[in-house]
Amino acid sequence: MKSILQQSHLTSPIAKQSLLRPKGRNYKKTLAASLILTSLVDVFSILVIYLLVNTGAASSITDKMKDISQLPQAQTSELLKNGVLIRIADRNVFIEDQQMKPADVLSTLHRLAEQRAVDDRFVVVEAGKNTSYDVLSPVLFAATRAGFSKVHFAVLKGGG
Amino acid sequence: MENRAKKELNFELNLLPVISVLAVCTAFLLLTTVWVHIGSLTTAQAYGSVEESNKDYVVYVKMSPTGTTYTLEIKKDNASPIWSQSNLSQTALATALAKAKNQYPKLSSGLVQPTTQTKYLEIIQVMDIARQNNVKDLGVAPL
Repeated sequence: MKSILQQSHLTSPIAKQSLLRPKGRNYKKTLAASLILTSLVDVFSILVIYLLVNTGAASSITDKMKDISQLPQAQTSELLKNGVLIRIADRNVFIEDQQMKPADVLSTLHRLAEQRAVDDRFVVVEAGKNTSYDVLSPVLFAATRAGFSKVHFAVLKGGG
Repeated sequence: MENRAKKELNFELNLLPVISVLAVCTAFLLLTTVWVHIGSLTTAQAYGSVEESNKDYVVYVKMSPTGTTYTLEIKKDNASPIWSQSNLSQTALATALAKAKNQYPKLSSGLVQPTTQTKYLEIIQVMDIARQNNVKDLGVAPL
């Protein structure tokens, strides 16, 4: 009576298919080599782990952004954190997806600032490359006055 | 009877369902992964930050209305400029800032001064150049 290890060694697919010294009592030379699926499983596992890690990096604020392709590129950027999203599109200002009249920007930002802890008070600005500073400046000024100490400009990572 | 006693102890795990599950997972993750990475450049408006604090050395980057040239100034304790260069292109600005950083290693704060016509892209480019030269405490001057 052979041990399980010995048996498995004798009946292993590699040993059976060996051209030099095929092992196993019931050795039959077959044209189709048996496929070793273990390595395939390894490859898939590595792929799944890599993709899972990549998926986790996306923050929820990215989902709120509308036109990512218009963002400028920067080589030295930080991780984008969740903050109050201010979107500027065609000279219109949207705060948390709601279009604002210029007069309402400060009061809305005041209200949003009061709802947040002091450490969490920052705004994320999503603006197109060609947005001019005369549109941007009043919004930044209002954010600072409302109590948002930091402004995060959304950019695409990389480029130059 | 003897044949029945010779029961195969060695078994092979059926890997095909495992591969199927992993293939479905891979396809799903490939479709849902975000490939475009968004970052951020942090700044504070000059109002209440860089301007009011007494930093040792502060670099001021003035942008021309056309957005093609820049003036670089370094001031100590908000006094008159100790370093000044004007009519710089974007490449020249990067070189000048690297030189200034070599000369004044404590230089870590900066203020970008755009004009009404300055594009958001240009502000980001200047901030990026400053950050590449380890000037990371940046502010943008209001109009």
